[in-house]
Amino acid sequence: MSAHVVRYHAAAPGRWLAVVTDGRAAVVHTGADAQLAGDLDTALAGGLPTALDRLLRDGIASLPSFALLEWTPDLDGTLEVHGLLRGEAIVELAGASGDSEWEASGVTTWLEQRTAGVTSLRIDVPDDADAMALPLGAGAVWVSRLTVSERGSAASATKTSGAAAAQNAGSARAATEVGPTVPLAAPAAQAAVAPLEQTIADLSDTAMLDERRGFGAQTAYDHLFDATIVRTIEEAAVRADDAEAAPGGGHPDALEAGALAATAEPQAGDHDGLTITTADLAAMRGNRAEASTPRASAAPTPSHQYFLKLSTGAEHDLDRPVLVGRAPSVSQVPGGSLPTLLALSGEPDVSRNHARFDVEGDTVLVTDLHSRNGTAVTLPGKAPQLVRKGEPTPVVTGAVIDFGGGTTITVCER
Amino acid sequence: MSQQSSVALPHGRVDVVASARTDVGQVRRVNEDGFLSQMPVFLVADGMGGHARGDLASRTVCEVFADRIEAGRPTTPEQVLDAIETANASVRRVDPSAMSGTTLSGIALVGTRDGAQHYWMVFNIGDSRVYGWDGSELAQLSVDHSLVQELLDAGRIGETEALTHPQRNVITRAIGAAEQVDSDVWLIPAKGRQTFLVCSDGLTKELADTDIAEVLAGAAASSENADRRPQTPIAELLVQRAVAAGGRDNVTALVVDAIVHGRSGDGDGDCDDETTIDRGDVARELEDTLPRRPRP
Repeated sequence: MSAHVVRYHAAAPGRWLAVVTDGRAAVVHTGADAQLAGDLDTALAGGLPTALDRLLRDGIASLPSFALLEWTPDLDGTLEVHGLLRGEAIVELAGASGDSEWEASGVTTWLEQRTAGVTSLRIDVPDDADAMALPLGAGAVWVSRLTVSERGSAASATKTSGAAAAQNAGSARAATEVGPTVPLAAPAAQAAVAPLEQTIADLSDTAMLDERRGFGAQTAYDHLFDATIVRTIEEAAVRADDAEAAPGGGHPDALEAGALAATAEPQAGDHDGLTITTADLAAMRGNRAEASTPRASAAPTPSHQYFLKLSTGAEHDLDRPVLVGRAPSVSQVPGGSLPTLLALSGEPDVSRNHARFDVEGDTVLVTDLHSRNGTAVTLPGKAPQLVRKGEPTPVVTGAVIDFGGGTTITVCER
Repeated sequence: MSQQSSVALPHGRVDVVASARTDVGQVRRVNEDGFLSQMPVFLVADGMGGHARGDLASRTVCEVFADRIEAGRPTTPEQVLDAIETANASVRRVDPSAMSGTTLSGIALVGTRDGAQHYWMVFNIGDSRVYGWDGSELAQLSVDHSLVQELLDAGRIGETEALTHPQRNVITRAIGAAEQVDSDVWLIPAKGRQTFLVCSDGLTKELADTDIAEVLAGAAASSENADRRPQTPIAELLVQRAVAAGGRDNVTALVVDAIVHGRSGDGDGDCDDETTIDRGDVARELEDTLPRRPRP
């Protein structure tokens, strides 16, 4: 029979809050942020990406230190642990094939890890630790340390001074003494009514166990290496102030060294591209949705519908920019602002990319793209004038634009 | 495998020989790369997300393009952009509770609205790449949407550091990552013989550009020497070499060899360099008819 219990070491209120639900734990430096503390249990219930979403609500700059862990039992009774880590929290994992440590100092954003074959684990945060380890079924408490270990084993994962004696001391009374003073959402109102020891796995089918034996060891260090992840430029950018804020030191080299250390973990074991994306993408979606809303509504509706009429009789709508040339080409433009290409082929006086038409507000602009022979504009009733190269020049309806070839273009309005 | 297709244009035709190959590599368990090689669109999608989700994302993109872009004739820039939008929405719908994403890089033969001009439209989201090969030189046409590219552009790191940067796996744009997808596009006049390589980062992280150029040059030489086409398609040679070099990621390569016969667009066959005739009656300035160069 195999089962795991969560225990915590209490700490004074107002620093590190631990929230534990079924198979998940969050240890977050909430400080006095009562709203965050109150939101955490609901967020964690939705899974790690949801919890991360909540933490990211105010952007990456105000993201607190945290450890978000999720553990699921494998068939051999060991745990597969999935973790997101930022800042000062440290996670130590013990397994049949050795111990490992997750540590995110120097990582600009957060570290994501996944390890199988874990028998016990411990989250440590820099706070004065109470020696007593108390069991916790589900709830929220101020902690200096949180452990997950097999029922009946020593209370802490690795190298812990004996708090095992306190194993049975956990009670509603003990929990109340150190208990949460944070506001909690309704479902967690029974917070910290330990000791509802959680049975995560109960596997006595030895045949199955045999079949899977070795799997845990083989994948003990299975985790993310070099899997592609997505971050917005804003989030991914390595900034000077990030570097200064990073505990690893202010120098970018220290930052990169930290990130290197974080990704240079043993890469043995199978790897199928389990990725940080889940969380990142979710975060990006949240950010993007907010960012894109005002942008979309700010776009003015053009009151004029301009088009270009060629001396050959052809017409081109100016609903998008138009690029005119002998053999026009486009180099790296956003898909949304791709110009229409208007080729005046067989006109050797015209440069390959000669001029560009844009509509800005209610104004048509023509820009000579540093053509060899220039662009002339004839406004109604005026003499032809050469436009300055590279400068957007406003033209009115009826203006005739000459590129030096046989073809001219007239700006028209519907 | 190689496939040949020929498409009629108003003033000629374009013949395309395309070869594509994908390999799971030596380390990963699942191949999350996907590709579509079907005239007029040739693309590679490198899925992310773990488990089967990355695989599903890249496959979704390929299916959307196969569905939205009519095969066997030139498409339009609008249709390609529309397919990118649709692919983005579809990937986001795959499993709203789980998240997945994919890169998307490729080329498409597009015509102007009046159908008179034809271009190779290069499109990119993420860090898969499109290269151009002119028979002697390999030029990267697309620009990665990656943290490393940002650092390069900002002058924070050099080319050499970029190859080993610990965060070279961080990309800044992806299909499925956001409500709106920001693609970068290029339009290159279709003319003469043009060769393109579309590939996932599994190829470019194992092989230097010089290695890739060597394979392309070798393949070209062997096809000239032999009566028939080379036994092994170029895409296969490239992928084999990347897998042999480590194959730490899924590897996908798609090589498109296109020849435009007859007049298409420009009409001047000698258009490698500026051929605008100087009228001499206006101010002479330094010729620069391509003011917007791709970022280095």
